[in-house]
Amino acid sequence: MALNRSQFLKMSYEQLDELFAKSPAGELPDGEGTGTAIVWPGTWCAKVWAWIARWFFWQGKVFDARRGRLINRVTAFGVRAIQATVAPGKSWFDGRECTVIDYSKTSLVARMVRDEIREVAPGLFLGKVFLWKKPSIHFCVSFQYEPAGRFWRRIMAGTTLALIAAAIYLAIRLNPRDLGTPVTYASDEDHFKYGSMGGEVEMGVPYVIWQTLPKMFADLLPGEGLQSLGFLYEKDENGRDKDLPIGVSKRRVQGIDRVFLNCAVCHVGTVRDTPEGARRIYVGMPSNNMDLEKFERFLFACVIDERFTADRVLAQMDHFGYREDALNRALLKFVAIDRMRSRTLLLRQRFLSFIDREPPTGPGRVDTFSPPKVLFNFPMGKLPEQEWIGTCDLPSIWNQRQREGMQLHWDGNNTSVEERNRSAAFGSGARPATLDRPAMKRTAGWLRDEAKPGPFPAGKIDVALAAKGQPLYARYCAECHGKSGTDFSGDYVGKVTDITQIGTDRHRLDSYTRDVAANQNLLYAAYPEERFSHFRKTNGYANQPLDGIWLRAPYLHNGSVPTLRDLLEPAVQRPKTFFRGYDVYDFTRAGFISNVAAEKGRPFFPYDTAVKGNGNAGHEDAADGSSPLPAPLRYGTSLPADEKDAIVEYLKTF
Amino acid sequence: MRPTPKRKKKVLIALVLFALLAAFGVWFGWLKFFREIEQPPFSDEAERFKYGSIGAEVNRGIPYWIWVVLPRVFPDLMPGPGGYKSFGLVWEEGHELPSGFSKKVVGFPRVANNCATCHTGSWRASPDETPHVVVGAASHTSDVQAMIRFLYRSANDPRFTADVLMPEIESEIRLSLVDSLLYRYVIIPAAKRELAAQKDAFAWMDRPHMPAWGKGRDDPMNLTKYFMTGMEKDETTGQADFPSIWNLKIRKGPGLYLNWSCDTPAVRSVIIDSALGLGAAPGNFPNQPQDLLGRIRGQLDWMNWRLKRRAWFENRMAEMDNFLSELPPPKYPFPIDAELAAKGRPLYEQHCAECHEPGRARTSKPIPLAEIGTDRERALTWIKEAADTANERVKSFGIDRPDMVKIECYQSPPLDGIWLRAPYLHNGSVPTLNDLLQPVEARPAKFYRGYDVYDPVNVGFVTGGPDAARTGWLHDVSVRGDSNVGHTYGTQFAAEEKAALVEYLKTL
Repeated sequence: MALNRSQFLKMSYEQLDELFAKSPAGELPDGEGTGTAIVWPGTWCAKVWAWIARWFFWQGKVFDARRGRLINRVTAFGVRAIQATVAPGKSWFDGRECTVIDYSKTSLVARMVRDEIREVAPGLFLGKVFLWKKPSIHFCVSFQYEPAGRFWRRIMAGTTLALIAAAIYLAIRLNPRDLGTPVTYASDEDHFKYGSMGGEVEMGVPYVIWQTLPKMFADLLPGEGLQSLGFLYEKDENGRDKDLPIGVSKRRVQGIDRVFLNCAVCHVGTVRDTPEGARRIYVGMPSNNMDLEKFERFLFACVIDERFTADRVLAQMDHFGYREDALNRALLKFVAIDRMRSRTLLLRQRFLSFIDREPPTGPGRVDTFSPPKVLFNFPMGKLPEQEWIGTCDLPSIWNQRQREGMQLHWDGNNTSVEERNRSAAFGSGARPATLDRPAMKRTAGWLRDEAKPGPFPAGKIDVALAAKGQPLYARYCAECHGKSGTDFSGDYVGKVTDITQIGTDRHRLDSYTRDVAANQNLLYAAYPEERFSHFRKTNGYANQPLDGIWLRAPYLHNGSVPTLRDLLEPAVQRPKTFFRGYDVYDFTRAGFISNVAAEKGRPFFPYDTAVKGNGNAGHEDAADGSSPLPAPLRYGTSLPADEKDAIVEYLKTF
Repeated sequence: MRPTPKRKKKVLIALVLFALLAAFGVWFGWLKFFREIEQPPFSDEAERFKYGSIGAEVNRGIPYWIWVVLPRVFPDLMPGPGGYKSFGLVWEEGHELPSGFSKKVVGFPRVANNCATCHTGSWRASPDETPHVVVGAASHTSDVQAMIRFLYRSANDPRFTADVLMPEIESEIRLSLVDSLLYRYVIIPAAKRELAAQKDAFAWMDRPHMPAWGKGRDDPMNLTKYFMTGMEKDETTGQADFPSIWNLKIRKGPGLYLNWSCDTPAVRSVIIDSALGLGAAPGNFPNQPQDLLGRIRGQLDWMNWRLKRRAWFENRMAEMDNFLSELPPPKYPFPIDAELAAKGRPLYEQHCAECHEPGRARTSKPIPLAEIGTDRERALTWIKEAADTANERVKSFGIDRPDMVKIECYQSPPLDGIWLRAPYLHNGSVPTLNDLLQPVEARPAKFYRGYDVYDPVNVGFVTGGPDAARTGWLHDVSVRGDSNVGHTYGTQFAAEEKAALVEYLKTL
């Protein structure tokens, strides 16, 4: 029986060499020959390799004996590429005659290749490949009759290849284990305002839906657009609103652009000098516009609305001109919208379990420690009533380096800045498995050293009066609140004052419990150096440094006192009701103007100190003028009016 | 047909490939399921007591990540808000796990219990104070029964599936693809199988007429009986207080007994038997499934035990014995009226010391039931047959320790650190020392136990008020086994004599 190519695959390497050695060079072949790569001959995988090579890489060679040239047929489609010269020559193997196929002069990619072939049977050439002059695999080129249908082979190979390529593409694009790619920003401040902390991976709203919702469900918003919830839009270079507000970040996960909140949504605020004046944005300042509760309720209302179906959302998306490619449209239609609904419904169930029991927070306030309770999925129905209300003011977050080691959060329940940051990042949807560590580190670093409070507008401080206030402040306040707006030294700065001494509303204190602290110990347990271990139950509120205090109005942990000057009055003389959310500043009393109920149809939040959790008592001297604090410290409410004025004036320099 | 050389070669290649594959499989299985990584070192023996392994992770370890997410997936099966803390566990500030829980990698991280689950207690002088954690004290706040029930109820719940648990787990940790698949297809199903099987294992305590253990108690001899001996269910119930286990050196000596009804004659035996009860030895998982998989696992376990774990275990038990023997009882933290205490001393000497002062004739000795007169149920749970079978069982593990016995009695323990051992009597039926000196009719018929704010006036824990009602467990002396009768010594004293005696007891 004559040799054929499939027999080569069963022979050993040595046998092939032997066969090659004893065969004549033969005629120069001519025409199209079918190629077979012979890798690891004699083993079971030779067949597999030959098959793979044939189908995907190399189908054979086309010889032109007259011109002494050949060209290979490569890839699944038999593309003619990679030329070589063909000429009789001496073999590098045994020095005898053979036909040499040389790529070195004709091909760039295959220049290190030299093939030698000899005719081992009529129309069947066995070849040896030399790479960089070293013998490598064998191959054969057959001009024997090959019954396989070349056309169907190409179709099938092509289809298989296309399917594999598509599968690889989809596997990469839809990989559920991939954390995606965030939109990044050159400046740290922009990163703070718009950079992603990773929350989009789990909580992200598809960008096109985010843009569609306020238009589609305009009736569920209190006013025009997301602005009516307190979101702040900066202008782009063309003077138009940017597409996303401050505090909303974007990340492409599984090929879909998704957005969610970041730190800046709660920690960027605005000030106007006059109602007609320009609105100045202060980064790191507690948000005085954002009504997170209303935003949550808006999202919740959307997903339980009958209009929230994939088809309707997609139709509205088209109507308002938000485009996605076909694959993403399919994903939105069949997966993403449904998933957004189920995720949001879960949040809805859990969040309503506490926000429905609490008085409305209004802008600039949030319940900080009920979210961890629902994150742990505590059975909230069994929560004792004293824990129900945890509403507190959003804090400023500048100058963090100087706060390291202080008791952070209003009740001072944590002394680690990093841990506090990771805890707050839960609010941006970032879980231990999805937190974007480098992004977090960048923001944390910026907050630590770069973020500073903006100064009180020059010319609006009575320098002489402030100078009078300085010694008063030093005497009465500095031990608890730091020497100045930049020097935070003082025996009690960053430490907790017992609730019996501070006397402020205790709801926020009681909302945080040892139960929460215990469970927080399990957070980030998969990453030992990040595991939470600093949370403690305290029994009071922490004394804070007063850097940029003018921007931190209204005052006290629950934002129950509109201005600094009011804070220096005994509780009974502080405003019992006022409005929050108006950003025009009262430069005399230091705080926002709080008697304006609405502006251009936008109502502000009526704050009633009689409501549970909103109490404005405390941080005051006793009625007889004595102070519960160690002498000479005092809260200052019993000082003469001119001294109070002087202290407030001095605080404006912070 | 004779094998040709070619065929021979093929067979050889196949064999080598198979051997390689098998070797890889064994290595992979060992790596992912059996490889034990020692816990990081502990700063001292007390930390090791609270968080160190006693070897139970192999048999009874719950996969760590499942353990973490269970309370979040099954809030409706939890007694209240607070995750595992709602079972009343002692959870020290900043610690990853509650006291009495050890985390160890056996293939994957697992959580098991150790002695501190029942023997580390807490107290506070006021609700605002951070609890003081005392090693060796009774975990009087912990509802172990509720926790056991929670675990097997959740495992028997239709929600206990990979589809429900994995998203919770994978938001906490980015598992590798391999680990994720192992959790989904092996670890979660296996954990469900074994935890769910405990429902039957604990069926004896779930019978509706069986009284609850409540906080700070278990049914020790029935646990031993059913799990160490495999005896059939009977109608006894013996809910009893967790004892303090500090200062064990004074419990050692010939003729001295431990356990409430003198069931064990040696400290080491009690420590070993308790650790075995927590799953330290092979096949000691309550109702471990006995199908093929279960049997294979059991055989591997025995091999492991004989080769390595037994020696480790015996050494660990010896170290724990040493630690607990020398562990001092906690000092009374409130002021003591020394003058008054001095007046109480002769009363103690005259009326109490014979049975309660270490070294005296009847201390740590059997007191007949008729004489002591306290609730009999606990004493009736243990029988000679159970003692014999349990002794054999322990011997089958290759462990040599003094044998358990059966005596119809209650034991008279020394009173070291008695202030922190409230509530009193073996079933914790009397909340404070003051109450114990009252005639039975005057002792509280219902009170809350398991609240850790201390009452220095009555000497015991606070038993009333909204916080005690919320966190505590209502003890009702009319329930079977919970009666507060008996031990009427001193009830006849005059009020000032009682005050003096109690003052003296604070000094112990």
